[in-house]
Amino acid sequence: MTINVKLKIWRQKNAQTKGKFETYVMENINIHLSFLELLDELNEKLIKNDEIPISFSHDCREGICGTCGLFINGRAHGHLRGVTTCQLHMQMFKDGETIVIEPWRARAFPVIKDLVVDRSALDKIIQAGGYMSANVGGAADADAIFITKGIADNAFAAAKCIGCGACVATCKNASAMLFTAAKVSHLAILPQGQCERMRRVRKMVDEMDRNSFGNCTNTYACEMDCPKNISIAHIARMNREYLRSVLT
Amino acid sequence: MKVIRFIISHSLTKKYIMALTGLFLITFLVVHLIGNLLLVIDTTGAKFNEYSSELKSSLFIQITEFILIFGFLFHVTDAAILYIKNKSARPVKYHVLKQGENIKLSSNFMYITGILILLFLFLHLYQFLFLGRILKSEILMHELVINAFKNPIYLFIYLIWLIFLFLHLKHAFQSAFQSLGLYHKKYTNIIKNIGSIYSFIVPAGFAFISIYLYLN
Repeated sequence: MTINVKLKIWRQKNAQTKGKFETYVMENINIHLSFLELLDELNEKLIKNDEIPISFSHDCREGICGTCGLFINGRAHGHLRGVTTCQLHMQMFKDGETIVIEPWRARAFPVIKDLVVDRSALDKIIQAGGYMSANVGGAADADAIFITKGIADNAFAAAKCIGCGACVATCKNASAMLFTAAKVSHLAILPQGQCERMRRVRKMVDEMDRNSFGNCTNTYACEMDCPKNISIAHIARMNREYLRSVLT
Repeated sequence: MKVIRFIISHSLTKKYIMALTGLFLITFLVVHLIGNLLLVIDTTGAKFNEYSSELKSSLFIQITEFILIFGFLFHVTDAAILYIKNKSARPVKYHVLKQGENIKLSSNFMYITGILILLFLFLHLYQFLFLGRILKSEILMHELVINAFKNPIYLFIYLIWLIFLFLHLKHAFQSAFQSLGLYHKKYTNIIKNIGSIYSFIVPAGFAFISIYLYLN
């Protein structure tokens, strides 16, 4: 089965120039194509016509790397819950639909070209404290410290964050709280993360504040658009951790 | 000064201040509503006048009022700082943004409902605090309240104001607990439910009293 769609895509030559929307009509699209494959087909068409193809970030195309990220029809990664852009398929769209595709919009994420944004602000937050300085050994060493299934599941639920930036993109304040909270929470729950727990949360939150992200106003839009369904419970944990580090 | 600078320059400290001052104001509204119920319990107004003169003379109340004013100013100033910072975090807006799909109405319009609440609050304070307390007029508080609510225009604006208060509180209650890190998979639903009941009962209580006074 095939459908026809109209794509309104943000085109921007580089960070210095002003961008604008360009409209492309795609006919007889196989509904089993992924959203990125649709863009691949469009790019092939553009190359054949001697036009400049659309730049967009992508890597694994199986929802685990966090590289792809497009704002599709007013939602981060599209309207489907719990999927990345590469996991979104054309069967989710109607025949004749106009699809508006924009890059992540945030002061902290400047547009590099077309739909590609610079997300290094998220890397800076990780560099500030999202690691363990001490050598905690290999995977086998982790098994030497007993933890309950609940703790393991909880830490894993936070560790699932792939750092795609959808939380920042969808938040009305362009806040990176869900991302930072997932990283803080993941290590704060596990025994290996305990010795740097206080220092970590302070450093990571302070780095987040330095990178022009907005503040969280508890609208919980991030939780709705997170492709890994990371809960706002982790933001609450980060709030607790930070409060504890300020008071002690 | 060092503490204030620390609070202003950190995102999470601003959230804590917002939540703590908010919870303080939430508590105040309950006390205010209980006081106002005297208007319905005793229609002659004697008890309400006694209560209001007690408020004027009590040192405890005066200290609490002082804290209340500061709490309120902190809440509003903090909101203004957050608003400016949050707006500047996204200089280029989205062409299509379907916020209605992932955000509840009440949480999306906190600033707007906040501003509207603040605007009417000036009128409310002028009407009762300034005319009744600061000017130390001869008119007793009960008479002042009755005169105000007998005016259908004032009553109408007051009721509209309460709708905005309801929307503001609906998001505020659970949000304050979340900001302070109080989230638990068992208790958060209880907090949410209490928040929903509170945000309806308090404005509804004020609305009931005002309509009761208008009709009687």
